[in-house]
Amino acid sequence: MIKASEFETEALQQLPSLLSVATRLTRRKSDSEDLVQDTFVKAIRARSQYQPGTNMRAWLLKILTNTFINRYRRGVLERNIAEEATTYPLADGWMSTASMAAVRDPESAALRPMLEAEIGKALDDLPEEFRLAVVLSDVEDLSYKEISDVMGCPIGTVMSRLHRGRRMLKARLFEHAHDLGILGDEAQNGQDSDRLGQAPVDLEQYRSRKARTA
Amino acid sequence: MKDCCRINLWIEPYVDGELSPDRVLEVESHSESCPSCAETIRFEHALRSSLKSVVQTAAPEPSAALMGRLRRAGAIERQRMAAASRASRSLPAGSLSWRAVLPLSAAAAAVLVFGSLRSEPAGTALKNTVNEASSAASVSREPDVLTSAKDFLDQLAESYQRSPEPTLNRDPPPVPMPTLAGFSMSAPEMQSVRGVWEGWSQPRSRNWRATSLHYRLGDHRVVVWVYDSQRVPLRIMLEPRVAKNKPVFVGIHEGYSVAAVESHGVGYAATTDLSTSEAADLLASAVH
Repeated sequence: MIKASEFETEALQQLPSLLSVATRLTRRKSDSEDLVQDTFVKAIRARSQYQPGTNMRAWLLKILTNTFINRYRRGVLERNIAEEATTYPLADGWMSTASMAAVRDPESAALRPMLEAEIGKALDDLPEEFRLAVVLSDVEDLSYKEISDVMGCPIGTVMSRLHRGRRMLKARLFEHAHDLGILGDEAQNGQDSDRLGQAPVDLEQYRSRKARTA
Repeated sequence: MKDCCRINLWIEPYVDGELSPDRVLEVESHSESCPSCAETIRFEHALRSSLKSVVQTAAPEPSAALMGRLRRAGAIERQRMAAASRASRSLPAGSLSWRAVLPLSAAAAAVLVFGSLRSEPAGTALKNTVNEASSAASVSREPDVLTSAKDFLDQLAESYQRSPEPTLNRDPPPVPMPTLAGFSMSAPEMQSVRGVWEGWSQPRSRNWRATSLHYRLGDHRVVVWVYDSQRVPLRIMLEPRVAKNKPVFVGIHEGYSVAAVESHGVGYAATTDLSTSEAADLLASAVH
């Protein structure tokens, strides 16, 4: 087994990662530091389970996630997921190529920080499991396999959480881009919203037409 | 354009680096000739890099105070592990742990089989084995702190079950509290966590003395024992935690949550039917 002092030194090198994920999870500095300390002590206790040569960051993040869920949020996750289904329509957020290019690379560079600030807020508003999946993947660069291990769910669930989480982020981002005037009205009210909002109605009309012609 | 629907499903795993090599080729050759999918890929990359920069710039740098806390926590944990391994080596003969009992019974069984194969009186061999084992265990026998910590927890749980005892003194807690000769201390500020006073008593055993304070919290009861943390190192029996920025030790004993904090050599142990986290938060808020 790896020596306690060596293990501690190695674990402390992962502190920035642990702290940034903890901050995103708890959203409060004092809570995030408590969570990191809990994680650290649990990791030292469980260090015989750590296999040297494997990804220590992923291993520590798994302990952090479990500690967070058990201690801070038990019971809340399920509710969030259930609420999410009604808050966000299942229609996929379709965006035109021009809109994507405009948001990705706004004409005025001054707009970029405002868009990024909105991404930060949107991330905080995501249901916890989506936020965690997105942070582990896009910020911490963990693989799907590592995330499934950390979150204790199948890879397919990881992929769907990532997809839905990112889709919500994109929806907020486009809404904000529209408010900032980066996207014109036609992008918001024209084809885009037809595709987003009216799809179920169109489908109904299509079905009734089909029924009539059949 | 017909391919777009199929390719679109693969773009996220593609950007995440999770797509199989043959599909990677397919996505790349398609996006070379499809400006829409190429832009989707660029957009996905941009989203990830924005997320990374937002999260990383918003995250606080690990402060020197946090580093200090972690190093202290690490040191305490190492001490605790060392104490626990010493304690498990010096368990009194009367209470052999499972770790000791299992190999011992296996050895005894082996001797029994071996003995009967050699058609010798198996009982003698078994008796010898057990005698040897118990004399080995009694060599390092000492009235150790582990026993008093265990005894303390047992009595604490028992007192909780009996609470509120008819013998409880209903007067307000005495100031200073007559807990242990040599120092006085104040009661935890349970009123700050809406604890309603019920009474106090003074349990004691051969190895320790304590003042037992009884409170009611809505539908729950909390019993707090104030004791000398040098004599009763509860931390050996419990798991370290952090609550309200303070080190707290928690565990479950006899089905009840136990939380303990130490302040200037004085230990405060709360037992309750709330969860361990709630007990830890409660005590950390009430003890200064």
